[in-house]
Formats: sequence, C-alpha cells, structure tokens
Amino acid sequence: MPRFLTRTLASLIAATCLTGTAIADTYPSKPITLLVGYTPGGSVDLVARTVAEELGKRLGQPVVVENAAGAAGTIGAAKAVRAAPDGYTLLLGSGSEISIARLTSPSVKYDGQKDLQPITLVGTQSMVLVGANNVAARNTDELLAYARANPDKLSFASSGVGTPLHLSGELIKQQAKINMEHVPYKGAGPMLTDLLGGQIPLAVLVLSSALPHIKTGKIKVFGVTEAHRAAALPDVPTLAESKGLDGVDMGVWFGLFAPAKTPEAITARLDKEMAEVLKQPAVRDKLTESGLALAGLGPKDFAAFIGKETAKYQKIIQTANIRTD
Amino acid sequence: MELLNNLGIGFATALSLTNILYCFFGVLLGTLIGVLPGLGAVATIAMLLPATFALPPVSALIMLAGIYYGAQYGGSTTAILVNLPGESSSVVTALDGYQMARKGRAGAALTTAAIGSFVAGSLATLLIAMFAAPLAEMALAFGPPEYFSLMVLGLVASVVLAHGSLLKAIAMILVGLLIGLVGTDVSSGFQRFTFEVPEFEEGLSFVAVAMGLFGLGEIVRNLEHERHATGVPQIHRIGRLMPTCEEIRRMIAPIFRGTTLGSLLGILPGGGAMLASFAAYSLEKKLSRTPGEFGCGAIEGVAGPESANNAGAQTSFIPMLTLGIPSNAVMALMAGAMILHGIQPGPTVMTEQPALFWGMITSMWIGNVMLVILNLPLVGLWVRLLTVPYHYLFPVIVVICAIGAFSVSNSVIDIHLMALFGLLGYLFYKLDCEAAPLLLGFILGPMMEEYLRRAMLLSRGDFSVFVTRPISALLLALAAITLALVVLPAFRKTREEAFQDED
Repeated sequence: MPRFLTRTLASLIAATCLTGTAIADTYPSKPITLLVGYTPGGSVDLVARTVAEELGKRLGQPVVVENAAGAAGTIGAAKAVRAAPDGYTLLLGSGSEISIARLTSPSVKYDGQKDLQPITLVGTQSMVLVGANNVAARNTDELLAYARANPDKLSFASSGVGTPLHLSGELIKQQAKINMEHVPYKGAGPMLTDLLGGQIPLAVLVLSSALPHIKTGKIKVFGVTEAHRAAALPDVPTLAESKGLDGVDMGVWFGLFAPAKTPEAITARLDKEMAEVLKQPAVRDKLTESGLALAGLGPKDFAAFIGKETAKYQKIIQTANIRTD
Repeated sequence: MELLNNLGIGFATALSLTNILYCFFGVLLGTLIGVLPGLGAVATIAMLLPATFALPPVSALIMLAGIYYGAQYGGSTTAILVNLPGESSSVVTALDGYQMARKGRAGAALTTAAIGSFVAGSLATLLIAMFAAPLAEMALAFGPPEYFSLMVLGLVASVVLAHGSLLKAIAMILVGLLIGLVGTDVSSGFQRFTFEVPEFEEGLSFVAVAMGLFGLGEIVRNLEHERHATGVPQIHRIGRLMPTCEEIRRMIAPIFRGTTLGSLLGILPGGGAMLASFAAYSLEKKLSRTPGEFGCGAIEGVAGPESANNAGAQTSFIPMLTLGIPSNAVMALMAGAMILHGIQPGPTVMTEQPALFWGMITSMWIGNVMLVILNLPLVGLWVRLLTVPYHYLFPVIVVICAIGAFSVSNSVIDIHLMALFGLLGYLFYKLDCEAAPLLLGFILGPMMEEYLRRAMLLSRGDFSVFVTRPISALLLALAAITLALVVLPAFRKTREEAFQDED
C-alpha cells in the first residue's frame, strides 16, 4: 500500500476519532427534547418527568419533556425515528409503541428495534389480574375451574386492542386454554369504574392503578403477571404459580431511546449518566412508589431484552390473531 | 358535626396565605386561558404539571383545580362575546349568550353567567362536602347499558337545541355522528376514515371542530356584512351592564334547576359533566312559556347551562377524589399530579390525607368567591372589547384560535382542520343549518357506540339488557316520550307556532 494512502487513511481515522471525542466533549450544548408518546400525567410521562430533571442536571443542559400524544404512543415514537440522530431528541418509550404496534398494525411504518437505538431500560412494572367483588372465585385456581365449567361466562377488560394488558389477557387464555371475552376500554379510569360497580367480572390492570383498590378491598386480586411476586404485594401469588398458567411472565417496561445512527459517543454518555440518575435516592423513591421495579440495563442488554419481549408478543399476537388496521 | 369538623380542617388548610395565593393564581390563570378561545384547561394544566413538582401537594392541587373551574368561568366570556366556545360545555352558552350580546345585552349575559356559576359552584361544593362518598357509590350503578340509554336521551333531546327546521336539525345530528366516526374504533382497534394520518387516530379534535364551526364561521359571516355595510359590522351597544329586575327574576329558577342537573350529571364518570349544559338548555327550553325566544337571546338559555356546567365541573371531582377514577381529561391530569406527589388518588385519600382532601374542597368555594370578585368588575372591560373595530379584532381572534387549536395536541393538522370547519360553518349558516346539533352528535356519537358495543359484548349480544335494567329502561322511556312529543302532530303544531311568533 503506498505510503500516502496509509497516511491519509490514518489521518482520516484520527479525524473520525477526533470528531467523535469532539461531539462527546461539547455534547450537550443546547437543551434536549425528551419525547413521550402519551399525555401528561400518564405512567410513561411520569417516568419521563422523573428522570428528565435529574438527567438535565447531570448533563448541564435542561431535558425538556415533549408530549406527542396519540395513536397508542406511535405518534411520539415516529417523531423520534424521524428526528436528527444528534442526541438532542430522545424518546422515553414503552413496549406498546416500540414492539407491539408494528406487530398488530401495518400502518405503523417504523421498526422500533431497527429505527431506534435503545440506551437504558429504566424499569418494568407488573400487571395484575383482578376481579370485581361479585365474582365468586377466591383465587386463580377457582377462577380457572369456573372458566372451564362455564366457557361463555367470563369477560375481561383491558385498555384497548393490542395493549400489553390485552396481550396478558390473551396469554392467560392461551396458556390455561380457557375462554374469556375481551372487552376493550379507553384506559384504566373507565375500567375501574365498571370493575368497582361489578359491571364486568375481570380486568387486567397495571399494578399501580389497581393497587389502592386492592388495598381497600374494593376489588379482588388473583395474581401478578410477572414471573416474580411484586414488592408492593408480597402476599399476592404470581399467575405462574397456578397450575395451567406456568410460564406466564409479562410486564410493562419503560426505557430511554435515541434515533438510530446516533453517535456511540453520545449514547455511551447518556447511558453513563442514566446509570447515575437511577442511583439517586429521590429518583429511586419516586419510581418505586409509582410501582416500577428498577432495571437500569445498558444498551446491549436492553436490546437483547427488547428482542425477547418482542418474540413473546409476536407469539401471543399470532395465536390470538390480533390486528388493528 | 363531623361535617363542620371536616370543613374546619379544610378551611384551616385552604386559608393559609400560601394556599390562598396559589388558589388566586389558579383562578386568575384559568379565567385568562378560558377567555382566550381554544386555550383550554387541559393544555394549561398539562403545561403547568411539571412546574408543580416543587410545590407542596395541597398547594399544587388547589392551583390546578383553580385553573379548571376558572377556565369554565372564562370560557363563557368568549362564547358570549364573540361566539367562540372553547370547551364543549360553553357551546350552548354561545347559542343565546351571543344573541344577547348582539342585542346589546352582553353585560347582562356575562353577569348572569358569573352569578349562575357562583351559585352553582357554591352549592356543588357543599354537595361534595356532605355527600361525596355515597354519591360516588351511586354513580357506580351506571354500567354500559345505562350510559348508552343516557346518551340516547341526550341525542333525542338535542333536537330541542335547534330552533329552525326539524329535518335540518336531524340531518345535522347525523352529519355530527359521521364526523364522530373518524378515529380508532375502541371495540375492534380498527381505524376508520383516518386516511393514514396518525393525528386522526384519536378522532378529530373537538376544539378544532367547535371553533371552526362556531367561531371562524361567524367571523367569515361578519366580514361579509362588513363589506356590505359601513366599516363596522355590528355596533354592539353596550347597554346596561347589570341585568334588569325582570331579568334577575327570570334567571333564579334556571340557576337552581341547572345546578341540580349539573351536580347530578357531573358525578357520572362517563362524560356526564359535558352533557350537563346541553341537558340544562333542553330543560329550560321545554319549561319555558316562550320557547321561541331560545336561540334569539333568552336569558334562561344562559343562566341554566352556565350553572349546570359549573356545578358539573365541581362535582366531577367526586369520582376522582373518592374512587380514584378520573371522569375526564382534566381529572386524569389531576390524578397524574397527585401521583407525581406520591399520593395515589382513591378511596384512601379522604382518610389518610384529610387536610389535602378537605383543603381542596374548601378551596373550591374560596376560588368561586374570588372568581366573582374578579369577574364582575371585568365585565365592563370585556364588553368594551366589542367596541374595538372588527377589522382589528378578527385577526387577533383568528391567531389566538390557531394557537388554541394547536395547543391541544401540538399538531398543525388541527389548525387546517379548524380552517376547513370554518368554511363549513359559513356554508351551514348560508343553508340555515345550525351547528349545535352537529356538535352534540359529534360528541355523543362515538361515546354512544362505545357503550352500546360494550353492553353488547357483556350481554353476549342480548338486547334485552337495555330494558331489563331499571335505570336504563327509565332513561329509554324518557327518550321515547321526548321523541313522541317531537313527532306527535299536536306538539309539532305548538312548536311551529312558537317559531312563527318569533319571525
């Protein structure tokens, strides 16, 4: 190889490295936008706002939460996919818009696994199978027995077709080989209304929204959907502990993403700072109080996690043939 | 005694200097954004939510609540003065309020709205303090079939909103139902008429549709007159600011009827508060000895709905505070704010955080007092706005409307949508079709469908649930009677006579 070429190559490589460090050195030089695909006050928004403040302090630039709400989180996610990969637009996403949306709806054009770069898995939260107080069954085993004896009696509420809550319900049906009619609602509020009033027998809810009503005994809880018991409800068994539901393991999860092709120097910096953010007692307390089990996985582990979750969703969706086009 | 005790705790909390200040700040901000068309409580509370991080939870909630009912107050101002309903509840206020303004009675209309809102707000607060828990339990008896029947009644009654051709009113309701179809179908998750525009997946924005049809349509219409006539379109005589004795006499009964209706419907977690103002208007028109006046500036048509929507706004806190169930977007945000502060909204709030619970309730009454003090002197100022030449006023209104439409979900499409509905509004005016029934169809249609299909899913396709459940059966019977009254020849005759009087 002629020497000049080697030299040019070497200097080119050096230059690339330099720009790399240069970006990392000056980043961030202006405020960062943290997109959320949901309305303010919701669970994803709460996670975003809790980490945004602390992350901003550590980066020396404000991190501003922007709610691009609608279409089950996909409007916000699509906006993040389209954004310049310069580290100034990030997304706080959840399983719905990252993995599930594309599997159920062909109108979703982006691929959450390819078009977004996972940075940090903030945490996961369990869902719970709950029942109205006028349901006779006292535990999951009795419920399954009732369902088998009365194949057309049970209905379960979820927050809409193709949501993690719906998928959990379908998973329970598939694993236990029982039939329950899916009744979609527009969110936790109306579901709880009908559940408290005994209008619908069962519902799958995110743990945090069901917790106060479980504690006051206004609804009964059958089990949590994750493979391990929830810290907030240590006496409540997992669904997987029941015969016929072994292997049930589903949770909702929240993580930080950047558009694909964001320089590694930037994602590494964000990952490092996020790890610190999640160590802050104030942040930890706030997130655990809202029902989250903190994870703090970095880019590689987070990507692998998403891969496994997506495979799980895909199997449920194919078996139940869920489509929303 | 327990009530006095509780109210004591409440006043002790709400009357602290900090909380009074936050309450004042909340109602002031609420009034301002309410007056600005399209900028609603939802967008404002959403924007302020992160800022409340640093405040003590009681102060934060007192301020946010203040914004909410303050906006209900302010919203009627623009509805009356420039025919711009920024919230669904002020649509009916615009019907007669704006007509009063055109007749030079803007001051009286605004004062009526303020007094009605104050009386309603105070009574509803008392109601929350006394019966919050049992009322919330009662609301739980409403399942999907009951909601569906309630909506049917609402839709049938909405024919009363029209004061022209019955056929045209029904046609407009149907157009509204069709427009309401746009978006994701809750039951199947399928998209309807969204044309692959992600922004349409949640349905068309109410603010864009309402402001386009009413506000922009009205502006186009005024500008048309402006070219014909002199430089100024309509000289709104300001007239007396205060209502006459006759007017005060006429508003008393509607205020109390509106308050009762609003308080009851507001408790229902399924959009009942929104129905309250429509229901109050229909009721007043039915009871009136001169129904022909409605739509041409009847003071009862302002007093009833204004009281109802404020009472409804107040009692919609009941399901959130006692059951932890948010009944509308604002309540969802309030619940979010509570969670941000580590308080899980629900039945435990009342027992575990008595200072917060009662502090918030008493602050609502204090806030209502502040609103009256704030608003009555301002009436003169608002009315003076009308003397600004229209060609200076309308560009400002259009710009604020655009900002308002945009702010709901930060989407530009909503501005285009508003412009489109502005043209439609003008077209409807030319064709003598009224926009109010359309809007009610647009709001109720999707909800009716959702509840109908949920009821059907739960009953496994058995239609008899609607008549075997007593509340549902009663509501459907009322709807049938209303329909019969409209269709039966005897009633039609009196209705037509009533409208001939007015011509």
